[in-house]
Amino acid sequence: MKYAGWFSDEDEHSVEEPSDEPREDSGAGGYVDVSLEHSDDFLGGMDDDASENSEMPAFSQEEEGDVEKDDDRHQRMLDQITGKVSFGRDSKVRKQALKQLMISEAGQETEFGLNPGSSSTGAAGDLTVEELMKSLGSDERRKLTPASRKILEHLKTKPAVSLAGTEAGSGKARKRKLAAAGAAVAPVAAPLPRLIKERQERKAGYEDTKEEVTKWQSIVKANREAPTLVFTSARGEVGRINTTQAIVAQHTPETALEEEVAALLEKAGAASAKAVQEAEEKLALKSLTLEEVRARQERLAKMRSLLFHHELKAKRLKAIKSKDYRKRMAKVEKLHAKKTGASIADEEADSDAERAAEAEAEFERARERLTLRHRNTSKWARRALKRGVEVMDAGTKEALAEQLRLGQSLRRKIEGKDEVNEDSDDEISSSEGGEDGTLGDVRVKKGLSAKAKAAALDLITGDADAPLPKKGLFSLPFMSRALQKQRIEAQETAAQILQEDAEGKGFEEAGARSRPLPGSSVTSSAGRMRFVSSGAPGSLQVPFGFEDIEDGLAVGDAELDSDVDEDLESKAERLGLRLKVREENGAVVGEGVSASTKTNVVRSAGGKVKDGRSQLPTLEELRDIELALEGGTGVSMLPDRLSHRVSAEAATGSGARRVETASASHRAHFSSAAARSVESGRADLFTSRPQANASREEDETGSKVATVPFIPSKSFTGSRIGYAFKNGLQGLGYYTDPKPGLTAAKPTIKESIVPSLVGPVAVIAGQRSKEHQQKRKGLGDASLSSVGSVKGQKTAVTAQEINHHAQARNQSRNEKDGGDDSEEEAERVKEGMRPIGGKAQTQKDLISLAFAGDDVEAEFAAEKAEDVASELPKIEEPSTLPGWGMWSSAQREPKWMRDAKEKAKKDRETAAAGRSDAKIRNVVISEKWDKKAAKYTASSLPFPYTSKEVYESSLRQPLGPEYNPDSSFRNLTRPAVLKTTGVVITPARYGKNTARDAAAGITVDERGVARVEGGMTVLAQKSGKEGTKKQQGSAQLSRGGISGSFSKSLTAEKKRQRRI
Amino acid sequence: MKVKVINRIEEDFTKERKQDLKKVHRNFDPNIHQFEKAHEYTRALNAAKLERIFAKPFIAALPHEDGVTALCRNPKTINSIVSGCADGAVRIWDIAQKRTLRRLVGHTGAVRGLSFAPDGESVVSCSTDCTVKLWKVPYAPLEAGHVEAQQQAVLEFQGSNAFRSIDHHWSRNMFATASTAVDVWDHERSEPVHTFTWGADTVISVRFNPAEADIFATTGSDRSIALYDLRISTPVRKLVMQTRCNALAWNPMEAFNFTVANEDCNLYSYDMRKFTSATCVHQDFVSAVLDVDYSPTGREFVAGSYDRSVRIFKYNGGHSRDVYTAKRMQRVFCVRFSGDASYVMSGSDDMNVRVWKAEASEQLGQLLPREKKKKAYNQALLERYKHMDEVKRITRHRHLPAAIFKAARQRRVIVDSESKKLQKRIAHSKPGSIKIKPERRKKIVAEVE
Repeated sequence: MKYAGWFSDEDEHSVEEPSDEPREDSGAGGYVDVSLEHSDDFLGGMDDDASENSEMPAFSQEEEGDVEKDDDRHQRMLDQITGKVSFGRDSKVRKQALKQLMISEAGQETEFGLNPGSSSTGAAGDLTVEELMKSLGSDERRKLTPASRKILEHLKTKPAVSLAGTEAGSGKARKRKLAAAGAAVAPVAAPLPRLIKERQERKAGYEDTKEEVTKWQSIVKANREAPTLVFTSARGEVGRINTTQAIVAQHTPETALEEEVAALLEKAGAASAKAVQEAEEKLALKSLTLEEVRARQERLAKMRSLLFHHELKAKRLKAIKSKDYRKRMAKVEKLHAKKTGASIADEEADSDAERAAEAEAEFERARERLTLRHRNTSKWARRALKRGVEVMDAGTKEALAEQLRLGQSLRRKIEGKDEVNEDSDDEISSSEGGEDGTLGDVRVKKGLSAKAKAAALDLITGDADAPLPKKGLFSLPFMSRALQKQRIEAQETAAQILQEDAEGKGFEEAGARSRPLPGSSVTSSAGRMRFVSSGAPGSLQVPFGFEDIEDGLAVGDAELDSDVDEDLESKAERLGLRLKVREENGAVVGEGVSASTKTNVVRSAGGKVKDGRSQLPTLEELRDIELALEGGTGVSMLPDRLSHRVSAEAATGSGARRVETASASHRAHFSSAAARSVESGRADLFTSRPQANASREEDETGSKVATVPFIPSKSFTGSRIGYAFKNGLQGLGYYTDPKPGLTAAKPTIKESIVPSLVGPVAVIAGQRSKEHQQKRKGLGDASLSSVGSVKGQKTAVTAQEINHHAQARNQSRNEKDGGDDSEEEAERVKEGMRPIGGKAQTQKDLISLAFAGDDVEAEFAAEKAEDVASELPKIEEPSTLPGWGMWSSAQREPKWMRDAKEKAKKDRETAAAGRSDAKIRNVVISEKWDKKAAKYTASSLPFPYTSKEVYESSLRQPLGPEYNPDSSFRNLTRPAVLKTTGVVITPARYGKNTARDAAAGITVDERGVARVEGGMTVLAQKSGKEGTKKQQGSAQLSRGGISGSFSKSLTAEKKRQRRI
Repeated sequence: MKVKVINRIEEDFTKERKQDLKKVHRNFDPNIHQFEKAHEYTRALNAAKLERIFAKPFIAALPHEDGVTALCRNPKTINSIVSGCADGAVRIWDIAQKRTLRRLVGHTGAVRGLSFAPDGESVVSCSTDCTVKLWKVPYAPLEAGHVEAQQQAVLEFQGSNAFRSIDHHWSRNMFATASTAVDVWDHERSEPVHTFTWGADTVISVRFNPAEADIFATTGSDRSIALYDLRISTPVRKLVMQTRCNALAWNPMEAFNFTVANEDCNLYSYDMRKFTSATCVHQDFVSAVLDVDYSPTGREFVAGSYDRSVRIFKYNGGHSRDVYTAKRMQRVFCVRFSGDASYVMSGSDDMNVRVWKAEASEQLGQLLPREKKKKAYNQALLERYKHMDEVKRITRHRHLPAAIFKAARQRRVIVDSESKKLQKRIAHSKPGSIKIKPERRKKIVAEVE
C-alpha cells in the first residue's frame, strides 16, 4: 500500500527533513524512505529557497497507477540507490523521472489483517471499505446500528473509494485515484516530516493568531486617534470603606484560628456589642421580680420618652437663630439668676448690677441712635429691599421686620426716658417743619417781592435825577443822552413791576422761570461770586467783609429769610446810605443802579485796574441791576461763571471803552461767545442788535433751507445744512436729515470757512451769532434789547458786511455764469464749497492742479529702491581702491576685481528680483528679518506638518482662558491621558460592542474623550464573592496606603513647590 | 439722543447666599486681548522653565543586600512590589511606607524573574537554582512601623535548567518560564503542562500578552523574538534580529504591539502581525537595554539600560521623553511601571530598588481644580510651542552623567560618519545600485515561519 503524497502538487516543498524515526527497509513491501537533505533545525525555514535551487534530488511522493511501470520503476530505484542514475537533460523528463522515482510506501501489518503490500486488491492498493469490513466479525457486524450498516452497504456497492484520497487534498491526485478505483488501491500518504509539519502548523497558527489579534484593530485605532483617553478601569474596584465599623462588619473569619475565636465568641454570646448588651440586660433581669421589672421598664420608658421630648425641644430651641430671642433668653436667665440669687446677694451689689445694666442699656441706645443699625439702612437690608418683597424669602422678611422692631424698641426707650423734653422738641420741630413747608415759601416770595419793590422804588424815586457824569466818555452829549434815556426806560420798567406786584402776579412766574435755570443767583448760591470794582486808583475801595456779602442778594434764600421782618424802607435807606458813602468817596455810579441795588458790593480789585478812567458803572453793576430787576420780572440771569469771567475781564481790560453805553434801564446781555473772546484777549464783549439781527437772519435762511423736504440731485454735490444725501423714497437727492444734532453743528464749521477767506473777524461773528442764538433760547426771552459796545457793534457790522459782500460777489458770479443752478451754487457758496475754475473743471483737473509739480511715482520708486537696497543681503565685493597696494605696472583694475564686482552686482540683482514685491510696482513688501518676531516662529517646519500654512493655522487659536470661554478652554487644554493617581489601570479587555463602536467612531465623544475600560475580573469569578470582597478591601488598603503613602515626602515637596 | 451708559447691577455680580453661583463675565473681544501669541509664547516658555525647575523625579530608594535582578508589581494594588536579588533573596515591599513587608527565603541562586498572579495574592519567582517558587503575598497593614518577617515558599516547581525569566498568565493560574525551553506551568501541577521548543538556544525572557492573554512572546539568545499561542500549543512565529533582545514588553492597551529591549542600545516596537519592519525604533541609550515595561496606559514605556540610566519613551517616540539617573545608580537590570502609571520602579546593580515619578515635574497629592486647570493649560501650551527654539531647548535639556554624555556624543559621531559614508557611497555609485535600508528594517535578519 502506498501513501498518497500530501505535497504532490507542491514541488517547492520537496525538502524532506530528517526523520528521527528509525528507517525501515522492507523488501516485500518495497517501500523506501529516502532522506536526501539535512537541513538545520533552525535555518530550515529560511533556507527554503536555497534548498530549492540546490541540485540535490528531491523526492516527491506520488502514487502510481500503472502496474506495468512497476518493474521499470523498481529498476530505476535500484539504479538510483546504486548511483547509476542518469537523468535526461531535458528538465521535464527529469522532473517526471523524479516523480517516478518517488516510492514511499509505508505501512505495517495491522490488527485488521490488512496487507497493504499484497497485490490481491491490485497494485494501486488504496484502502477500501471492503477491506476494512473484512476484519469485522459477524458479531461486530450485528452490533452495528442500522444506520451505519446501511452506510456500509452503500459504500460496498460503490466503487472503492480511496480513504487516503478523501484525506489528502489535491484534486488531480483524487481524479487519478478515482479513475483507478476498483482496479488499483492507492497508497496512503506518508506522514510529513516533523519539521515541515511543525512549520505548517506554526504558519497556520500564526495566521490564526494574527486574525485573532486583528479584531483589536478598530479599538486600537480609535484609542490612538482619540485626543484624550480616560482610564476608568479599576475605579469601581476600589472599595469605599472608610470606617473601622464597616471593616468589622465586612469581616468574615477565614483562618482556622479566626473561626475558632469566632465560634468561642458566639458560644459565649459576645459575638457583637448588641449581643453583649442583651446578655447584660438578661443578667440584670435575673435578680428582679416581675413587678419590679415591669415598674423599671415603665420608668425607663417614661424617662426615654421624656428625654426624647426634651431633646426635640432642645433641638428646636437650638435652631432658633434670632438674636433678639437669644438676648431675651439671656436676659431672662439673668433675671432668673438674679431672683434666685437675690436672697443671697446684698442690696448694694444688686444696685450695682442694676446700674451697670442701665449704663449698658444707655450705651446700646446711644449706639443705636448713632449707627441706626436697626433701621434697615444696612447694605444687606437695602439690597434685600431693593430686590423686592415678592422675591424675598421668609427668613429675610422676618429678619428685616425684626430689625425694625428692634430699632423701634431701642428708640422707644429713649423716648421713655426723658419724655417731656422730647415731646417739646417734637412740637417745635414739627412746627418748624410746617413752616418750612408752607410759610417758608411765602416768606421767600415776600422777600423777593420786597427786594424787587425796594429796587423798583429806588429806581423810581431816588435816581431819576441823579447827576450825569461830567467827565469822560459819559460826559459826551450823545452818551449822556443815552444814559438819560436808559434811566427813563428803567424807571418805566420798575413802575411796571410795581404795578404787577400790586396785582400780585409776578410770584408764581418768578418761581417758575427762575427754577429751571441753573446758576441764577436768585435760586442758588452754588458758585462763589466775585465782585470786583473798576474804581479809579486813588478812589476809596471799600473792602467788604464776608458778612457784607452775606447781606447780598446773591447769597440766597437764607438771607432773604433772615431779613424778612426788616422794614423795606429802612433797608433801602440803609443800603442807599452805604452806597452813598461810596459815591461820596468818588466812585461815580449810575444813579439808578446805586440806589436800587444793595448788591453793588465792591471788592477791591487792587492792581488789576489798569486805567483809572473807568468811573462809570462796571459790568458788575450792570449785572447787579439785572439781578435786581429779575426779582420783579422773573427773567433769569446769566450764568455765574460767565459773569465771573466777564467781570475778570472788565477788571483787567479796557472797561472804559466799553461801558459808555451801559445803562441801568437796559439789561445788557453777554453771549458766551463774548466770554470766549474775552478769554482770547478780544475786547468785543457785547453783541449788537444789528449783529443779533444778522444772526437771526442767517438762522432764518438756514431754516429756510431746511424746510424744503427734498432736493433732487443726481450726484453728491457737497453736503448741505440739515440734509443728508441718499437714495430715498423720492429718488436720489438731499433729504432732510433726521439727525439735526449732527448737522446743526455743521453750519458753524461751514460758516467759518467763508469768513476765513475774508478775515478772522467774521469767524467770531459767525460764532457769536450762533452762540447768541443759543443764548436766546436759554433765556427764553424773545424781546431782548441788546446794547452792545461801540466796538462790538462795529465788529459785528464788519463781519456782516463781509458776509454780505461775499454773498454779493458770489451772486454776481452766479449771474455771470447764468446757470440755472444758481440757487444751488449759492448754497454751495454758503457752505464754502466754491469751485475755482467754474463748471468745466473736473475733479481730475482739480487734483492735477492741486498736485502740480509733484512726481509722486518717481519719489515712490526711489523710496522703494532705497528700501530694497537696505534689505538686500550683504554681498561682499572688493573694496580696495583700484591700484592701491599694487605695483605700478599692474593693471589698475585687475580682471578678478572687475569680475567680482560684476558678480556682486548680478547677485544683488538676482536677490532683488527674488523679492516678493519685485513684480508689484506700487507696493513695498518688507523682507526685513525681524529679530523680535523671529522669536515666535519655529526655525523649521515641525515633523507631522507638511505645509507652513497648516502649521500656522494650528497655532492660530489661542488657548488661554482670556481668549476662550470656559468650555472651549477645557476642550483645548485637555490632557492626552486622564487617569487617577492611586487607581490601578488594568489592561484592555476586548468587547465586541466596543470594537463595533470603535469602528463606527463613536467611542470618542464630541469633546474628543475616549473612555478606556479595563476589567480584571479574573480569579474573582473563580473564588466567588469572598475573593472579590477581599480584593476590594485590599484595594482600599492600598489606597489608604498611597494617600498616606508618599504623603510625608510628597507633602513636603508640595509645600516646597508652593513656596516657590 | 440716546445716551449709552455702562450699567452694572450689583445683584448680578454678588453672592447673597453661599449656594449662589457667581457668573464670571469675560469679554472675549480680541481687541482687548491683543498680542495673544506673544503672551502665550511667554507663558509656554515659563511653563517650560517651571517644568524643569520642578523636575525632581526621585522618590525613594529601597535597599537590598545584593544587586536587584528582578522586579514585579502587584496588579491589584499600587503600593506593593516584589524584588528579587542576585543572592537569591526576594523582598515584598510596601513602597508607600518604604519598608519591607516580607523577606521570602528559599532561593539559593540569583532570582532572575518574578511575576504576580492576577489576583495579586501570590507571586512566582524563578532562579538560576533551577527552581520556581510560589509565594503568598500579604497586604500591607495600615499602621506604620517595622513589620519585616521571613516567609517560606508555598509551592516549588523543579526544573532541569536554570531559569532566566518567568511571567504569569494574566487570567489563569498558569505561568511560563524561560530556560533552555519555554515551559508553561500550572499552579496545580509539578510538571510543566506545555513545553515549547524552537531551536536549541536559551530563551532569555518571556512575557504574556496582557490584552490577549493566551499569546506570549519570548526573546532568545539566538537573537530571536518568538511568538507563542497557548491555544494551538505551538510557537507561531520567530523574528531574528542582528543583536540579541534582552527583554520584551507588550502594550497592555494594544494587543498586537510590543517593544523589545535590544543589545544594540535601541528598543524596537513591533506589530506582531507584521514582522517585516519595526513600527518604531527608540533610540537614546548608549549601552545595552536590559529591561522594558509598558505603562498601564499603553502610551509610554520605561526602559533600563546597562549605561546606568532609566529612560521613559512614548510608545511612538523615537527618542526618550525623559531620562533618570542617580549618582550612585549602577547598571539597571529591571524596570517596572506602577499600576496607576504614575510611578516607575528600577532595580539596579547598586543593591537598590528606586522609585521615581513617571512625570518628573508632576505635583503629587491632591490637586485643586484650579491647579489642575493650570497644569493642563501649561501642558497644552508646551505641546503647542514645543517647536519653538527656546522652548525646545529648555524642555529637551537634561543634565547627564559625563559617561553617558560622552558616550552619546561618540555614538552621534559614529552615526554621523556612517551616514556621511553612505551618502558618499551613494554619490559615487551607479544610481539605484545602493539600496538604503530604513532604520526600522536594518536590524531584522529574518522572519522564521
